[in-house]
Amino acid sequence: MSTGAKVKFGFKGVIAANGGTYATPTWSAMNNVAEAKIAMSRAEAEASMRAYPVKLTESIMREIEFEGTIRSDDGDTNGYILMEAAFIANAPLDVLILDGPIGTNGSRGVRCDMKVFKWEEDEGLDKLDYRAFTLKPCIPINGAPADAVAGASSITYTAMSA
Amino acid sequence: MSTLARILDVCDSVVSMIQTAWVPAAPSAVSRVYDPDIGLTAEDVNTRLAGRQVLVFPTKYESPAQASRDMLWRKHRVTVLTVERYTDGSGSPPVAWMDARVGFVEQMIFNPLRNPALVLAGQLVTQAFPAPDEAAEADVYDIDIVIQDRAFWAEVRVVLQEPTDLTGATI
Repeated sequence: MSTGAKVKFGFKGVIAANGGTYATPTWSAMNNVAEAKIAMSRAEAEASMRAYPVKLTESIMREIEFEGTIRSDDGDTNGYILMEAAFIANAPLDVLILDGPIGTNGSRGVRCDMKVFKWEEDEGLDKLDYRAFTLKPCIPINGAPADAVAGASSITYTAMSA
Repeated sequence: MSTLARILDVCDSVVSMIQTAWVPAAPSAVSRVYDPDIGLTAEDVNTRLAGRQVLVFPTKYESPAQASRDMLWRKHRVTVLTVERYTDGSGSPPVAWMDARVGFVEQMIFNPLRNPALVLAGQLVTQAFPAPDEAAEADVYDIDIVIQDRAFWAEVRVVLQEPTDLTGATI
């Protein structure tokens, strides 16, 4: 009998900003986020050598980019206003991105200091306003980038390895 | 828990908006209905239409897309029917009489309900607005009813949109 994860729904994925300390985070989910996509890959490095007659490639640094949209809501101080302020101030956010709810065993993702690199709004006549944003890891001032796995009552963070 | 469906609340808000702008004099009226008795001929003794009636019908509702992690958009499709018998003479309704009704529908019903800045509120619904990606449409008049029944009949169909939480309740 399988004991693995149940079906995961995209809309239950969480992006949250830390309102507490790094050691004792208080995560506030940005519930006005609509579209969300986290892209993770590893950069490639040429690793060929004369000993092997094939082209060799090694994976090096991990690349992480979070793209999404957030509903423009002037009252959303935990999400829209927070992200706008971080963009304007060029300030990092201590961000947790999970593929499920914070309190659900098995939700997994990353925790990084991230900056807002895109903050676009399509104000077309037939549009309701959303901001399209991109978050990428930046030089950490709070803590090193980490993989995160949620338990029922806590989250385990593991510093990312090379 | 309120038993009022949200689409009925939206319709009631539409009724109130038209009522406030028009201020109909009896027997003319604006009301929300399901199955109105609209008698247009002399044989319809008990249901013969009197005055100008603006009838608001709930047509359909749907949640086309999720707005965010914790919010849905809900669209309410509402039909507004304006109907009135021509009683001033024995012939067909004159052009001026028809023009006045066509103008009424455009200016008192279609234009206000398609104003992108409109926000309606009722008992449950707090911010219903014209769906920006949906067209409102109006049938200017029904030619068969003009010819056969000497009456004006025009339908306006609008789509109003509002945010709800994931359960469909007010946020």
